[in-house]
Amino acid sequence: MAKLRCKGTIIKQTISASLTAVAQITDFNHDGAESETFDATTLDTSGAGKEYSQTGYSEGGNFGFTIFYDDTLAGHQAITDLVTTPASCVWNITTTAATAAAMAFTSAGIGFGFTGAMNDGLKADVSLKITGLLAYQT
Amino acid sequence: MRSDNGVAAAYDTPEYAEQIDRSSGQPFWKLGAVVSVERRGAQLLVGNGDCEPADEEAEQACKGWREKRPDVLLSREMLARAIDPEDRERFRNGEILGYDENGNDIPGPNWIEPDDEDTEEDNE
Repeated sequence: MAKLRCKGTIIKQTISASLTAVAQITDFNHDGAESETFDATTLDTSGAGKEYSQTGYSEGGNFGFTIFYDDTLAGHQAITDLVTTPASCVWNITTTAATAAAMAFTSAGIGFGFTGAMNDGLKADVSLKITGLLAYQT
Repeated sequence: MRSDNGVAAAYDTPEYAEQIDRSSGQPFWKLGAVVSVERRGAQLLVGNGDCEPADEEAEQACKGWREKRPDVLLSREMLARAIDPEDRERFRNGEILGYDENGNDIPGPNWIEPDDEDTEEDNE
């Protein structure tokens, strides 16, 4: 059992032949995968509690991260290329666990926006729509 | 190709098997692996410091890469060592080389001892 620090976490994106780390990430999040259910309640369900069952599908959710955005940086251009030329992309997340293997997922869509403020550096928010599921450690 | 670049799934094929290192359990390119990529891919990979042109065609696609190489490699090294954006200036200055397994600074040749005020701020 360990409490993992986030400093040193590496998120990699596929650029052509290579999986390479995304630069200048300040934070990241996965908004949550969810197994899909359906209402299985019937007229003869006993008790007051509604019943649910599994459809057999799960939503992969979205993975997002914030970067200090450098529009001249090739790695960041590779991200915006996914906006101008939509394509699926494989990403890897490697935590700081001593025995960490990469958790992989494929993005089908991307959201990209950037913000500037007087008291901060230029930042961009990237949101990735996961197709399928993130490959969790088991 | 750098040896800390993972192999994209589309390239994890028998054609490239000799150039892939699997000793870590994950496929990584061997140092100096030569791969064939499309023009934009070459520009991004070279621009990101992941690889260098291996033939004339790639050189043409990545004009000016030699002039930018020192800056690109420095940035790529910071990426490989997961240097925090706020610590990049300290890395450039040689104050730190990276972080140890507990996330503490590894002092560089120009290491500056933090004064008490800095330490107190860090602890807050």
